[in-house]
Amino acid sequence: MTRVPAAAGFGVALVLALTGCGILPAAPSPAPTDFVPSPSQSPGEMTGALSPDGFSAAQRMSVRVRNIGCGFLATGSGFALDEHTLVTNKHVVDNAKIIEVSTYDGRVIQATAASTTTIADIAIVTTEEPLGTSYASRAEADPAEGDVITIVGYPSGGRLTTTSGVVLGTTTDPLAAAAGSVLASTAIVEPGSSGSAVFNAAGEVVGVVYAKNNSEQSFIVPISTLNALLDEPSLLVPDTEGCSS
Amino acid sequence: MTADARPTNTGPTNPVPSNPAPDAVGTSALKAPRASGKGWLVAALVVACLAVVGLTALTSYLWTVHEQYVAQNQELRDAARELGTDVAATRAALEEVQADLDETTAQLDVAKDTINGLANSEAQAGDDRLALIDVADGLQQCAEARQDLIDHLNESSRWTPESLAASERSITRYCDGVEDAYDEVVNG
Repeated sequence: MTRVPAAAGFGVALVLALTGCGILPAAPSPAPTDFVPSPSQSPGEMTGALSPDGFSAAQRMSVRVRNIGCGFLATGSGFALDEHTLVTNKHVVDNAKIIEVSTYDGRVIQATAASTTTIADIAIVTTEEPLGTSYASRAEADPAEGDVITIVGYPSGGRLTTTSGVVLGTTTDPLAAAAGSVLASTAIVEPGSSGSAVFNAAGEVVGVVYAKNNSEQSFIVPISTLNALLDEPSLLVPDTEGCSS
Repeated sequence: MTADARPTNTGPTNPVPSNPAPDAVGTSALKAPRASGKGWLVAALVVACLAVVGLTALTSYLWTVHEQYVAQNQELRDAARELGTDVAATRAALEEVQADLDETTAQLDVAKDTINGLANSEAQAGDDRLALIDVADGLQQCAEARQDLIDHLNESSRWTPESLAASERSITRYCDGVEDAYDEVVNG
């Protein structure tokens, strides 16, 4: 009988000790010393990020096309597909004796050849000198109705200009010269804008400007047509230099 | 203890036990109250000792932990103060850099506009140069045509007046067109 209280006391003390350890505060863990900053957004990826010279890729790939014909001089726009190839409109280079290309930074480059097609108002022009370092990234699909587009070109043969608009939808060629449908948009263009690249929000080329109407609507050769032409070179016929008449 | 104090089995002064125990069981029952009291005392002492030891250990532990927390708190405060100072300095530097960047961006915009303007001037000058070359070619053809007309007039006997007049009208019309083109190039 004498062991019972002692055992009870010991048991109570043990229980208290064990349960007490559970609610006792633990010693502080070591203070952190290795602060590693989480990676922030690279300045090059931020909105409004600077390009090597402050011009956007769309501006750097855009060119002014000068058609020196027999007794006339015409200007249009175009954009670089690669170092020596650019896209413009067929009517921009029609009846050309000499084709010259001016880049956004004022360089003048002589074209060496031009190819056109009858299925769309598209011409592919090649140059001997490099056009620059920024080239078009072509979209896979045409823009949808309501999509916002941006056009970069040389309206009226003047300064490099950027305009925006919305795709109104597909329509038939108002000039009845091209096969298939074309796109209409609200972007305002001028003579000289012909051949301008049309960009989507991702900066991809989704078409080529080629006409306008009196309602200030612009008409665009869709990128699907350009892609089909570039995938099938036999559809492009070399333009012979000289004057047709 | 003296001999008088030693307990005896006889005599009326001894009150306990009042009845002799018939057997050993009764003898044991008589000794139990004293043993139980000692047991409780021992148990209480053990518990008290354990409590004292436990409380001492607990207090010691809590004190140690408290000291560690106080020390780390101070360490963290120092680190926070240092980091706060660094952050303030970094923010000030960032504001300066941002201001520089804004100024540079504005200068870049001006430079871009200038480049665009110069490129446009270059292109317009190229257009004008080509147009003037075209006009010069036209003027040269005009001059050559008029020289031919003069030559024909010098030998007017070989040509009918009607053909000479028609030739003059044609040349004049052509030269007027060239002059109009020249005016358009020069005056815009």
